[in-house]
Amino acid sequence: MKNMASGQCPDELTLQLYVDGETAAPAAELIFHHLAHCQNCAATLREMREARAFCLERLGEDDEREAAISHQLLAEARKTIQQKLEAASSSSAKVGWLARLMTLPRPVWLTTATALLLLAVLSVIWLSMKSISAAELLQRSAQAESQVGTDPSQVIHRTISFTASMPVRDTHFKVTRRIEIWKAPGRDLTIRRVFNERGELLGGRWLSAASKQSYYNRNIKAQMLIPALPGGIPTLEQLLNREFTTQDFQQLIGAAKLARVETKPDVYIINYSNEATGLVRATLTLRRTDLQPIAQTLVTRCRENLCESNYAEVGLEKLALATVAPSVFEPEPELIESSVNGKPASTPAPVVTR
Amino acid sequence: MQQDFDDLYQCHAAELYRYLRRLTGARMTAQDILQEAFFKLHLQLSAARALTNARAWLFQVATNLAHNRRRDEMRASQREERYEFSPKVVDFHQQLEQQQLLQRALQNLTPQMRQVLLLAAEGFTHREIAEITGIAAGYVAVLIGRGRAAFKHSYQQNDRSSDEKHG
Repeated sequence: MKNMASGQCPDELTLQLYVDGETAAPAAELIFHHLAHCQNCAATLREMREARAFCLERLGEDDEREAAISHQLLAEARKTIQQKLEAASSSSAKVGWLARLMTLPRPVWLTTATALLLLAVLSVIWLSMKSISAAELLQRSAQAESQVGTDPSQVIHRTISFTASMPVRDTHFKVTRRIEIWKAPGRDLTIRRVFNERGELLGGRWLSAASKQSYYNRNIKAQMLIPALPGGIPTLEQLLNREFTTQDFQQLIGAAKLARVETKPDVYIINYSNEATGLVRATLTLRRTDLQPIAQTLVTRCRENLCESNYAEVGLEKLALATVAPSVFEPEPELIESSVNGKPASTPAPVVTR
Repeated sequence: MQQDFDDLYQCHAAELYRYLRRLTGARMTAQDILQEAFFKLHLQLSAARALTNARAWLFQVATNLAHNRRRDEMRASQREERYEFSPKVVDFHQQLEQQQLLQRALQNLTPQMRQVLLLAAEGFTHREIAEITGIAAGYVAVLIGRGRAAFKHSYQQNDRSSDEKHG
């Protein structure tokens, strides 16, 4: 505008604004006066106005035919917009319902409860993974053991498989025995019967709370082999006296501090070794659920040989006293007969109470 | 709110559709964009957002949508380029010769020039056009002037060619 005031022609932009009526009143007046004297600018302005009019004419309202089409398309568009709005409204209502639901049960207590649950699970895992000492485990097992078989209405029936092997010169000796233990607190009796591999009854021991013991040995040939063997394989009497218990194992190994615990999914295995005492290896397997002993292995050195004996629980029954046949608690006639008429039972001296 | 929306549709749908049809060169595309623009307007009104110039807002949204659509179509090279005039464009009715001329003349302009020219034809001020298109206000005036001249020239040239063809 300053240029115009000094007599210069307005630029293209200024003229265009003037054509479109977008020039402020003072500037429009200046242009108006300039155009009156400037043929070039007047011609340019004329061209601009013609072009504007041409465009407005062509680009103005649609003709009748196009307007009819537009009308139809716009009605369709309105319908589509309405449908789209309804769909959006229903989906946003669903989202709103879900959002409200999500916010409802999410107060602090839920987070806390989740965290506590997680901690509990982790603690259980940690405790199960935590190593337990052999001494502690043996103590707990002994406690658990003492609580078994105290119910007078129950009879505990255990079956132990015993095997012992030992190489002697060119021969490999192997002994297999089956030990049946009946514990009946209601009758104040603990009975042990030892059978050979053929199922023949070799001997028995009847123990009462009054510490009265009765031993019955059968004088059969199979039994004769055992005392003839060098030490390492227990004799019949040793088998009859040997307790297949945790306490028994504790007494055997003595120093539980030297024992090591191996944790398996179902069992604990306690290993002990002290060659100085002749006990090359002693292993006790405890069931994890109730800490009851279910297997025991002893490897002892007998001169130059190693003797291995294995005890394994192969059966465990808890029976009602009333359901057990009375004959179970009575010594078999052949035992009484052999003890009275045959050879006397070996040490300890038999005390036949019947 | 619904009443406001209906009023705005009643007032501006026809001119917005016309603008979009000329801008894109295709009725169906124009209709799609118009629907989308008014849908956005409804959301805007639902959210109780203030609109000082609903008409300019609508044209701005529609222009942006048209821009996006053009960009998408350019990316999909195999698709029909609707910004460029194509005799293959299928419409509901046979195109009239005048409309073909008009469309051809518009397609000869640059997209930016076409936009400002059409907005100016719809009666928007330079300032409004600048707001809608994002082009500087001073440059809008220049584009309008040159666009009008180019459109007139192109239209008249095509018209002469058409006359010569028909003999």
